[in-house]
Amino acid sequence: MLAFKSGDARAFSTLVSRHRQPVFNFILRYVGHRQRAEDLLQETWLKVVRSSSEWEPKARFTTWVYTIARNLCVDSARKEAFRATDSLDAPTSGEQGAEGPSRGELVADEAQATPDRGAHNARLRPLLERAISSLPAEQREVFLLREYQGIGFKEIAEVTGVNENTVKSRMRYALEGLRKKLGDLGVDGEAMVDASRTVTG
Amino acid sequence: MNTGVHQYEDKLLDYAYGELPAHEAAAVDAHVRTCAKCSHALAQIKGVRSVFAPLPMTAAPDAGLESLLAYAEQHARRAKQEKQAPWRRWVFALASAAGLLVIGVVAVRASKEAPQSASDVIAANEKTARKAAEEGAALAPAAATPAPVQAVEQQERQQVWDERQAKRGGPPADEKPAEPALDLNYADARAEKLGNKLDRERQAKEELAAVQKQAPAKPMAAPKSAEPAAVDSLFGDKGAPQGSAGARQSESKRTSAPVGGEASGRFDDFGNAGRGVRLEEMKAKAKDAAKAEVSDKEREKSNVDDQLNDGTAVAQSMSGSANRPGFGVSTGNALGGTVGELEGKKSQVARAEPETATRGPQAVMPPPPPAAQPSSPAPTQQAPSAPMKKSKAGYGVMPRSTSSFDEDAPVAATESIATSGDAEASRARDRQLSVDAQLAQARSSANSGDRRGEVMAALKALQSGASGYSRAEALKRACDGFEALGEYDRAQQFCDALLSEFPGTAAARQVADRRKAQLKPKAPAPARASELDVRDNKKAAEDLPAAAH
Repeated sequence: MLAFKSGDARAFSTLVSRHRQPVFNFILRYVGHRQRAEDLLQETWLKVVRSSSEWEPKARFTTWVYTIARNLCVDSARKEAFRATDSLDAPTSGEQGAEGPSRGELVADEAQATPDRGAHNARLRPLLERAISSLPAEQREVFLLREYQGIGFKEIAEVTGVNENTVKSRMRYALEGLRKKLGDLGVDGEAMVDASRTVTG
Repeated sequence: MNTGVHQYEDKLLDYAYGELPAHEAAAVDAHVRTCAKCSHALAQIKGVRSVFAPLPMTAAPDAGLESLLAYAEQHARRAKQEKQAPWRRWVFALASAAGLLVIGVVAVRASKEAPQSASDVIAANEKTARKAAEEGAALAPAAATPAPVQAVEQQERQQVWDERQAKRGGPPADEKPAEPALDLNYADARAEKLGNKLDRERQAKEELAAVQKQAPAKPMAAPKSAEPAAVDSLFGDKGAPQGSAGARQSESKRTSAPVGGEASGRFDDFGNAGRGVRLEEMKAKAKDAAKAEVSDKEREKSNVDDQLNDGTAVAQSMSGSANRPGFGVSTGNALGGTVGELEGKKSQVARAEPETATRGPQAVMPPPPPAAQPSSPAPTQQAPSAPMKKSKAGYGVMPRSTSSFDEDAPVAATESIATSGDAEASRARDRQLSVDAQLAQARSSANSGDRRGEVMAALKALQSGASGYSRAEALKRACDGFEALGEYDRAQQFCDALLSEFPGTAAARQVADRRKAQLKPKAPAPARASELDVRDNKKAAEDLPAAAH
């Protein structure tokens, strides 16, 4: 980022290649709509370019770019709420938590599943997507940032603008909610236990 | 015990995500091995993580990536330029400010200097013009008004030019100098010469003295051309078109000579600037001719009366002089001279009897002044609606046209006019101003829809002796105005005069077209069709015999 600020355009290409996909996945899982996610992704990076002069090395680039992305997602969610469109969090049946795949599951790109996960992923993925979509937004963003972007709780606190204890509390609630959601979705504990055995922490 | 469990319970999340320092992590690990609750909680955290962790990433779209990179490249380039030369902005700003400052200083300086130099030049010009005017009639008697002034200015420019060239060591002095109005350098040079005003005055005096030495030789030839020269001075150059313009020129000649100051002792000469010597001769002639003037005046007055009341004289003189398309006062020397003569005669009569010259239009204005009536023939004093005295051209009561236009009369009048040319010029100027004012009033009334006021003003303009285009306008307005007011009889004479005096003008054409339209039958289409039917029937009738045969 410093190189880009100095006028090195190739440095920006490096940043993009490194962070564009993770940022897109975060946005996609946050908003639950692919087209909106693509728009927000482009908007995020444009803002990165325009605001590059304001960036200072005291904060990590990841923290900064996810802050931009998260803020855009929040704004987008507010606009969508005014448009009174069905939330992706709500299942297609219209009731939150009811049976039926969520919109997130409907728009999930099944083809993007890695081949080595096989049938297990093919069955679980939509459920997982749906479980994540069912989380409240503040819990969802914390879970996504920690679990998939690898951002620490302290940085998440900077991104979301809350203190660290709040972030951790939201994370506990998110994990608890996901666990219950998986149970509601029929993901048996055996699978979870088996899966937990492979978790390295 | 519970406290210990809760103490570590908060750290389980950090422990599960590996964010605890090593020593704390070891402590939590030791606690978890011994605490079932914490162990269960930790197991749940890890279980959820293990289920969600393998969730695959979705590939980012390529759409918009190229444009994003291009935008970033442009941004980086701009940032690079700013970083490399940040001082450029300051330099540019300073340069702009400096440029503006310089321009402002130059403008202020120029504005301060220009008026001074201009005023000094004007004062110097007036002084030298005053002196040059005293040189005598030999210098182009009928020259244009600013000739002496122009000569002085030219001399001054030449001097300045010479001095500048001498300084620069440039082209020879006889090279034509630049026009002062557009040459800033010239203005500067003129400003430099302010201090040499005395030198210029001295030079002018020397020149004047030289001219005056030559002056005695000139008057020998002057008497021969005094009369025509005087006429020319009244009516302008021999190429000048109109008497009123000539009067204006002579008037402007007079105005070019200042009044007062050292010239106060020669006021009369200044009053006839440019004609000092000739003025004396003209005065002498005036005395000789004064005796004969009285009888001439009487005869002239009667002629002018006819001219004012009949509309043929000017038309005849105008039509006889040239085929002119316009208003007839700007073509030909004779035409202009004739118009000027009429102007002069009118003023003469006006001097004798102020009401006489304005009788014509007043004849149609109720009530005519009593002074005008006794001196005019009875027919000219008829009521507006009555058949007017018909002139040779068959016009009604119109000023400045006569059926008995005496072409010899202007010759006799010329002599007296010559002697009072300056006063006549002044009167002519005043007359023209009055005419212009009246026409302006007529236009204003027309714009406001006041027809009566328009007609009144037009008639006053005619009374004031409108000539040329002014006369045409006044006639047109009177014609249109009276027709609009329904006074067709009154309108007719003005319309007729317009048609006769200014036949080729647009105004005359309008009037002619309007008359044609009035003469045409106003029946609607059927009437026109009936005309066609008549023609067709007539044609059919003609064809019948042929067909029968």
